[in-house]
Amino acid sequence: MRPRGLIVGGWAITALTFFALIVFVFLKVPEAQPQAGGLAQKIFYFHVPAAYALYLCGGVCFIGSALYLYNPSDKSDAWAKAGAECASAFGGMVMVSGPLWAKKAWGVYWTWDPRLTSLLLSILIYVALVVLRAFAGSGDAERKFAAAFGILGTAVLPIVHYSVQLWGGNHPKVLKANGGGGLQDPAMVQALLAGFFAMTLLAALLLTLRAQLALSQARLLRAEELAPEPNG
Amino acid sequence: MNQDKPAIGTAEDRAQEFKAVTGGNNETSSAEGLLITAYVLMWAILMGFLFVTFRRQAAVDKRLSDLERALPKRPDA
Repeated sequence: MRPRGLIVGGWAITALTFFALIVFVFLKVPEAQPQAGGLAQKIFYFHVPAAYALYLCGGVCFIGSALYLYNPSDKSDAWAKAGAECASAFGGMVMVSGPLWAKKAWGVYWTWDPRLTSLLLSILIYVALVVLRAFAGSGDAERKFAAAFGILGTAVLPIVHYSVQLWGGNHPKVLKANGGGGLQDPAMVQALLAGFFAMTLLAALLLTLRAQLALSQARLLRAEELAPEPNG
Repeated sequence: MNQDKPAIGTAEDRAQEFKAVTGGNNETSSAEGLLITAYVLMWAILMGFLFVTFRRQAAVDKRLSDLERALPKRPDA
């Protein structure tokens, strides 16, 4: 049985968290210095948590894919598929917000910086995986190929994460954990932490929703295979 | 000098012809515009993703109920 109350409650908490975060970011968090993009720097409080959610969904895709290769089941395949789909969605969010901020901070929408290039590659792998799952059928061979592809997509994520430390480029480090100078105002830190919390909730809900959908689709396919012909 | 001149200039001060320049002003985008565009696009992606998910779930549910109706009824049911 689907825990409907839990899911509805989860959506309500997520919506409220996002509403509070938007109000806080726009009304309380101070503007950053012009070199960081000034007012456009406020994109940061959603851009970075969306990238983190992409990592999270990539991790789920990796675990689901590895489990499917080890012991094939509809459940592990559904989570792998859901992980790739959600990673693509969060990747899209990162890819639209980043260039708009970069336009103000760097003067250009896009540059072939190591972080941007490796992230684009990673997102394209997840998009390719989603397209593959949509058009290549649901046979065991296709699922195994998709699982291997899912593992490859997630294997690129550590390269994305450490690309700034390894090869430099335009992309800022900012966070102290990444060797940057950190956020210099407590409200900025609070907004970022709230952003991480909100995106974690959103990622968990989207993953659950898509995994349930993938599982329902797999069960429907099996039921259609087993069902007798109308005139048979 | 030019202290009594309005800040915005007079009609005569405005450009009456266009010339090509190099290294012009790069400030073509306002921070407010970029910020709002980023937020709108991010939410649009999320809403689109949710819409597709619910539409697909509804299609699967409909197909399942069609399948249940098509199944022959068991005599003891």
